[in-house]
Amino acid sequence: MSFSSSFRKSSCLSRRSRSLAKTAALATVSPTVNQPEISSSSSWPPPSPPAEAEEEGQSWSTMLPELLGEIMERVEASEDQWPQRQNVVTCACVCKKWREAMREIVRASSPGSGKITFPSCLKQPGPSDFPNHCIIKRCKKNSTFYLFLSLTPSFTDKGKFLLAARRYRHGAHIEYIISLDADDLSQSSNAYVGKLSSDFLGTNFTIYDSQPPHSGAKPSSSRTSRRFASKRISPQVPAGNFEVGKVSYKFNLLKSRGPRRMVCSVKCPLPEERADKHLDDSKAKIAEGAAPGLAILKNKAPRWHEHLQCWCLNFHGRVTVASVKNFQLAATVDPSQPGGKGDEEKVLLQFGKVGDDTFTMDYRSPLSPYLAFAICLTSFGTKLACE
Amino acid sequence: MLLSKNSALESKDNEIFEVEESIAIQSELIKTMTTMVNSKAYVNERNQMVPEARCRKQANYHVEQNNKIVDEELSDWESKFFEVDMDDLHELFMAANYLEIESLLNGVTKRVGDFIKACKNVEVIRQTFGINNDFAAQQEEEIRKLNSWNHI
Repeated sequence: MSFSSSFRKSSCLSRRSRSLAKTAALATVSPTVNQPEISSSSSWPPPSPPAEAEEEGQSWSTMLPELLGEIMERVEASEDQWPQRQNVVTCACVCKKWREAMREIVRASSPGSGKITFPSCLKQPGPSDFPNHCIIKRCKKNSTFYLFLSLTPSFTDKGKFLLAARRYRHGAHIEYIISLDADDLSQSSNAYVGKLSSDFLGTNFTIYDSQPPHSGAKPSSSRTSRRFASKRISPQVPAGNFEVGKVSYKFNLLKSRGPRRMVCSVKCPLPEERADKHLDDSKAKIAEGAAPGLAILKNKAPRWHEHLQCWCLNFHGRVTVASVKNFQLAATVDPSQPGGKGDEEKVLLQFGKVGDDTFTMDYRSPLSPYLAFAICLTSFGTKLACE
Repeated sequence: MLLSKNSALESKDNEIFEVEESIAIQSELIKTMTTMVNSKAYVNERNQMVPEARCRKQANYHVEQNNKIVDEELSDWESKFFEVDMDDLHELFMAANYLEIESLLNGVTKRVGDFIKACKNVEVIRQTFGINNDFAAQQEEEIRKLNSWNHI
């Protein structure tokens, strides 16, 4: 009988696993824990348990993961949105046991919800049913773009900061370095998560990820990849850049001011393995004949509105300023669907202007926030070839 | 003549309680033993600490109250019941888990969850629960990153 790591709906563990848990608790030799100093000036927090409790293995600090999980589950389920979701991350920072318990719960909770909890969620698929709403802010002065998760429907509220990208020019070649740290945007940083590079004309882009998209992936040896001293936490993860997508723009040759055509092929992340084995396998099925997780997206063609004399797309109120940068992407090949067939009516990524330097980005599964952000950045990069 | 069947329960510290059977079987553990043995069941709590007796008494009382009073009074009563220190809360939690009393377990986990949310930062949680920071030096960097990620 092994300890079940799945967290079941009913609060009470089965007798057999609990009696084993209790035997294990008694068998565990708990070292005496140094009690932290407690501030005597306040009545909060309540006094911590006495040192004698440690010897019996019966205290909060030696609580078994299964029991700890009962409490963690409740915290995770009730703190759905940011800023309250901070509490979930705080739990994961307390100690090793709490970290493992909380990470497992986040992994197992609501598959397909696309909830953003830890930085690693930025490279996990978005929600299956409805898009996540984000805001991109552009700062022209320092050529930097900031991605935020919207916490309110307003376009002026920023929300939770997710990623930043800075545009660098190397001669005729342009790169966007993408980072978790808004103040540290370099490839050698610990916060570096990937980059976008474009050709001279700004019509073909390649998206790179600092982490391998799947096991066995080899880092690319692009002209611009440099050696850098990697201060990585886990040396097992190979340093380098892994190609995860390509975006190309084609221009409408018949109508000079017509909308451009976008094609993206991206390696989408497959949902993380869950503790609960009974997951919906159709989502994890690899499309026949396609590379694992490969999605092909094309932009929806706007309709010409004769009366208004302009090209129109229905952005459902999420885009309010006309701009050639605005787009909606739908999949022709979608690895998250049975058979890999994309639904050309379902918008997986929508991007558009709502203010001088403010844009909305709405994305959903199988795209991750990172991929969505990188694709949106390409829209800024095609200025050279516009009209 | 007994109006309702009573169960006699013995705790680790050899105290014997008599509780109404309908209340005793709120605990799944006792329910199982009762159906296996007889209506008069002796439960030997080998692994619980001394204050267990008090916990179980309170647990039964809680269940009894549950059956009697209306929602508003119940939630007031419940919040007072759970206003105990971390030590007692821990015992209540372990007792509720061992005895498989779902309603009590729900109440305790909610209370502990509320404590965690009220703590707001890692150090306060560690102090409240008496937990040591056992991250290795390598992991500390990752935790530092998580902490800066955790700000809006």
